[in-house]
Amino acid sequence: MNASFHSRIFDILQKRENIKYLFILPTGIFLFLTIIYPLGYSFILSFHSMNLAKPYLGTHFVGLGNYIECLSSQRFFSSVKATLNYTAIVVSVQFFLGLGLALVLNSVKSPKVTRSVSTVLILPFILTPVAVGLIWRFLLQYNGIINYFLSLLKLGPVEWLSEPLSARVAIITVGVWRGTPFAMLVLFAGLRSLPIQIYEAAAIDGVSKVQCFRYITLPLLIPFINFVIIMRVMFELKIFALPYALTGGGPARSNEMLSLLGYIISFRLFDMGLGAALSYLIFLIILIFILIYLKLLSKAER
Amino acid sequence: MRRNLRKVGVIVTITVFLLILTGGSWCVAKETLVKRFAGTELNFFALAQVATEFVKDEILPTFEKETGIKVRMDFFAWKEATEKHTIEIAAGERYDIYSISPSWIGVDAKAGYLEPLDDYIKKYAVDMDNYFPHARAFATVDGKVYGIPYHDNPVAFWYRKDLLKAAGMPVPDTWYEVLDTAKKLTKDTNGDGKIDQWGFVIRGETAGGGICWTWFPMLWSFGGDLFDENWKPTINSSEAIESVKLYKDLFKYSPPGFLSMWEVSKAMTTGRGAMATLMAGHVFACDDPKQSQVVGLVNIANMPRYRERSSITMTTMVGIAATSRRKEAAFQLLRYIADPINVERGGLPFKWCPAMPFVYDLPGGNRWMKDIKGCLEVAHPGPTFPELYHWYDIVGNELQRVVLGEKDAKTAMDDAAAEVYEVMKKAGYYK
Repeated sequence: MNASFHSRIFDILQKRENIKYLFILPTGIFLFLTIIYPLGYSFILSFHSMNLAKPYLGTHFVGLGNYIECLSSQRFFSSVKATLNYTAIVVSVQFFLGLGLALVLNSVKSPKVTRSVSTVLILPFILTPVAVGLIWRFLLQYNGIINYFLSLLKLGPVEWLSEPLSARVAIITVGVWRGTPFAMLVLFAGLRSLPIQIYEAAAIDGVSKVQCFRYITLPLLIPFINFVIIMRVMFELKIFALPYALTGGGPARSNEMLSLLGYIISFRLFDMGLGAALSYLIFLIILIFILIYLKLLSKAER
Repeated sequence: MRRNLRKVGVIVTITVFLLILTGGSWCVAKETLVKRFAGTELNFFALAQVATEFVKDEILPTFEKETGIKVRMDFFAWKEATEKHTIEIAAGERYDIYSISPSWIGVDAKAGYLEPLDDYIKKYAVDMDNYFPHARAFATVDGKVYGIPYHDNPVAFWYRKDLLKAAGMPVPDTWYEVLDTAKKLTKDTNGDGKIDQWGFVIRGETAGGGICWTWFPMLWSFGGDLFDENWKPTINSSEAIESVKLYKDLFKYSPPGFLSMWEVSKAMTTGRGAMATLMAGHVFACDDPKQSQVVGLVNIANMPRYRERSSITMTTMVGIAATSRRKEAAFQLLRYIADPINVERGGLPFKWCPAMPFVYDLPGGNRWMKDIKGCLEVAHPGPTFPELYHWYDIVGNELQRVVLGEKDAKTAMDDAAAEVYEVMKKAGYYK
């Protein structure tokens, strides 16, 4: 029996078309263990009641109980409102600022200058989000350096992190600072990929620069714009590190974004089932946005 | 006579011989016991504190030499440790020994994550009477001991003696005297139109229950409490509401923002704060010229009073994970930490605040010892029930809303009490 089993395996591996599976097997196992299994486990957990601080209560199936608890919670809807508000403003500013920077970079003739400037501009994006949050918390302190310069200009000091509205402005500002380089980089790549011949033809036809931008550049950039908006919205809807590091979700939960709420429920209150359910609701919100956006896009294309 | 003398001589000889024999074998037994775990490796989840650094730098070298047990310590800051330790201890076998705060011990003990230490304490004759009564109370859950206290860090009243003297003001004794003094000491000292000296620096972050820990001494001082004897919330009693109003009033004289423990300490060491209430263990930094601009100028005193003086203390303990496979070896380290000789070595020059009262009475201690002991003597055992994290989340949020002016004290505390009631009801406290 063993011998025939081994020889069967050997025969399968001998066939050339089966070798490719052998090569992807390690990655497949890794992906299964790090993505598929945790996703499946957390999905099943979202239908159970489980508190890590009270293991003596056991784990019980509660059906949609966790989802209903989330959807009937005032705190959840405050979080949704804060997250949507933050995302809408941040993504809009990131896009326009990123587009502006990309256009400026695209107009620079020297590749050396372009490379150096874009390397510097990309730095905020590659820094660790928690480190960014902690550095900005330090800068935005009442006695911090930002208030020092604002005082010199007779514009401050501002209580950045102690009032709900100013704390929201601070988080948005840092979010824009951090995410704009991504938008800039993608749109710059898009601008560089546009065919020069169309612009040459437009120049011959006497098209103005504004008309060029409106009727040539923007339509051709649509795929890149879509990519930027979808990616930025997905990222910002899941924002965690900035509100966590800057204000801990405060003051008084005013900047408690959805992912941060999920973190608090799972890792401070240790209600793992409820936290898992919340994370899938976040996933649904992102999915709904993407579906609506794609539908609007296809309508616009038609 | 000669026969009697001979008899006595034989008896004495036999007695001495037996003593030597048993004494020798006892020494061999002790040596065998201590060396029995040689070669064992232990992992220690440690709170990042001066006390645990003392354990790493001063206790571990001799411990490892004497026992042959190797210990690896991983340090975690308070905020991260609060969130991470439950995950680690629930997950299982990574760590044998844990630093435990009073906020966690109730949860961990009831969840079965910690090993009861009573049998080890009896076997190795660890004298728990060496500790402050509140430290013993913290370490005990449902009649069983789960931790050995080592660092007893009470909230104390800090003040700048030079600023009070310059203003001609005595050290305030009551909470309303603190408020009055804070108002007078909050000022723009350099004429730039911006306040740069704050009368009372106050901790207000919600993470880790920080804002609640600042409020607790005020609450108890006013005669309030968290629950009644039937676990019904009493945080909306008239005494509690008065204490919340005081908390809000004091906030006006604190730098803007809901400060962390570190930020309060920094405000004092950089000379921006005139008074504060904060863990006594941090005052050590005020006399460190590398960190402080106010060396020798910060004193601590016992907590202000209203009806009574009250403090709260962070009695950090060390405990053993129930899943550890090296429990008895781990207890050898706990014994070393509990040894009064080691406690005296660390506590006397004020490396940290020991949980044993005798150290505070020894000569040669630092200038704060007497007042720290005073705070420890009025320290309440902090809350340690399983729903504590949820309680901190609810009450901390409402306290911040009061400070922001979004709610008045009564409405906020009524809302908090109602929400806490629902949590306790769901947890089965009310039949």
